[in-house]
Amino acid sequence: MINIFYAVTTFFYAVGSWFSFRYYKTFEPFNEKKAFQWLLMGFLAQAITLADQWVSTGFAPLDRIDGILMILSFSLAGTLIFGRAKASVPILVSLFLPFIFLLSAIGFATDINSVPFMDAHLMTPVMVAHIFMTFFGFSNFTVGFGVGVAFWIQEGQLKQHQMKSWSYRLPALEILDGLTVFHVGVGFLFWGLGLVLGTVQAYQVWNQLPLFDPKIFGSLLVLIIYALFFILRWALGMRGKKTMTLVMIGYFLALFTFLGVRLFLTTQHTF
Amino acid sequence: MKFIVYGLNHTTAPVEVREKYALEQDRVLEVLRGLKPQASEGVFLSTCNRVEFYLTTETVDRTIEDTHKTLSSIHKLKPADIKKYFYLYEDSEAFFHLFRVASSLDSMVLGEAQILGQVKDAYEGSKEAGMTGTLLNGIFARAFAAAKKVRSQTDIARMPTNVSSVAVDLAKKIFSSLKEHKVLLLGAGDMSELTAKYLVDSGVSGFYVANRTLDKAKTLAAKLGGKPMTMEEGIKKMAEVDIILTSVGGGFTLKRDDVEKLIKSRNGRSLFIIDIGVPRNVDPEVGKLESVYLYNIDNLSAIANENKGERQKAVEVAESILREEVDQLCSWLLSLELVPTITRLRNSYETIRQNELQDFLKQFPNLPEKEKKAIERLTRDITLKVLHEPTVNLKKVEDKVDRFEFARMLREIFSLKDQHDTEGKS
Repeated sequence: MINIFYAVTTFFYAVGSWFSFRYYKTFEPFNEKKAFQWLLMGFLAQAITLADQWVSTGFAPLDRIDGILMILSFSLAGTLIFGRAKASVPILVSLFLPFIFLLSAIGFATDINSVPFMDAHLMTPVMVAHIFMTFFGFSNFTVGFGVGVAFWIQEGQLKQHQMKSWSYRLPALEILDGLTVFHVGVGFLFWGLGLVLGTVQAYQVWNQLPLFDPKIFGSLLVLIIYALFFILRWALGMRGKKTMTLVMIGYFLALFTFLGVRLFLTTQHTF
Repeated sequence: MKFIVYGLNHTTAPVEVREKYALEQDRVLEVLRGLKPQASEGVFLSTCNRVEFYLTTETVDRTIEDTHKTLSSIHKLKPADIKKYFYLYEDSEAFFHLFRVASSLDSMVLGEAQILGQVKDAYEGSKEAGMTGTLLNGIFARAFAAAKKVRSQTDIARMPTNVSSVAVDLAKKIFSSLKEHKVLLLGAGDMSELTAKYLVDSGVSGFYVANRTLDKAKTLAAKLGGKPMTMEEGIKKMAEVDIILTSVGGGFTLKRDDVEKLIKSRNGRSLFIIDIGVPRNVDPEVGKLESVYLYNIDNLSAIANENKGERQKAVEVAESILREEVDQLCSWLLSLELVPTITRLRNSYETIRQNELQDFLKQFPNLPEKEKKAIERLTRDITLKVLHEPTVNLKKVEDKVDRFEFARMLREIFSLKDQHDTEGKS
């Protein structure tokens, strides 16, 4: 049976993506504003979808691939909305919204009756909080990475004295730098909290701390790299490409920890 | 009704001709009023690069003749002497020309921002004087919307084309708003004054002028609203400011080591150095330092020239946008022209039918009521059938401009013109 809320969410993100593409074509603020409005509506619809599934099944829909994709798109949308309070970077919403739509659409198209990959009894409040926090942390790292790439490009242009027409459409370095710090900072906080909660959950289930599980080890490494990023900035006053390189490395490691570990290594995590 | 643009600009007339036509607003309205009743609506645009009349008229030749007479009498010139400088555009060509002017595609400096404001002022002046109506209000509203679209959707005005503006734009690409950043000018030469003025006008939070001769620093600081200081004080101030503008003569060079020491005390804050001194005042190696952005006069000029090229490239895209807008304007005009024309045509036939029927019935007063009704129905059906084909064919014409012309011809052929004007004015 089609989940009407999920369908509406995907539709909202689709319309928002259409405005995003229009924005790339025209660079008219109107299109970006519309894209953001549809993103906001999609986010609210998705919150209802989540709540509906939670109420109807008794636990958060985190045991199936469609639910995981929904949480991922939901946290990415939330991150963009949250980040806009810090600084409005028009190109950002239009950059990520099509990905959010894609995640939502794949989730929607996935058979909701597929076999759950997690036992329902594991879905404790600590587990739910662990997953939400980790996803929100990862989403912030993702947006921080996107902004960092924009900084990298813009800085390169300015250093080489080559201001192309699209450079004029990118925000100033100061804004990009501030936004990267913001998203990496928020991501660091939530990723760290997710790691702590995951550790608590693991201890409750297995009565031991699987520190050498690649996911946990990778997550710790991600935190160390981002901590180094903050230390170099604040203690040594380093800025520019060197610190942005750490953002890139941290993100690729987070991406591998988040998605790659299950594919290439052995882990006790179910996804 | 025709819409025409009649005027001259920097491509058709030299400045000594153009300057003769510069009129004050009161005089402009006097001229436009003088063109009535030939031109029912009118806007007159007068800038340093163009003088243009935007008029709606039924009699183009007569209106132009009147325009020349009026201008000649004001400027005391013979009409024949001035005619050669003028150009005339009609309807869709005139719309396109107006849209190009408002979008700054027809300006001497491509993409300059002032022209849109000047067109708006000219229109507002005419509107306030009651010289515009439905047609010009609609046409100008669309011209302004089209210009806005061109500015936002193309690179026509996005990138600066003079060295000083490029410097300010670069500063904004590094620091976003300049309101929290200070500028230090090293060397109070003429070269740096304009760039410094642009930066100050952008609202920087502090502006310092350092010069070997303090008096010269004081003069410039007073002029631009800054704080004067000696060169030694200026060097010390470098740690505090975020933008340094240098134009010092006599072998002054800022070395990499000096700046390296400086940036250590800045805690990673970016430093934008604009070196417009010739010979250069800053060692090029400085530009390789982290968070330091160094531009010399050649770098700035290269960007300005490249931007000029980009603006030129944007013309094609801008014109395609404007063509779409002209099409939309023609559609709007059609909605004004086509439907009322059809309605008037039908009304005209209906009047003829009624009159003929009354005359006929007067000749046969004893005709039974049933037969009267049958004749009435017959005449109505004939009229409807006669009008059916032209109406359908008129709606079928795909080219919007042709449809507009078609409707106009129809009004001419069936003498619907006077009726239309009367209705339009009411």
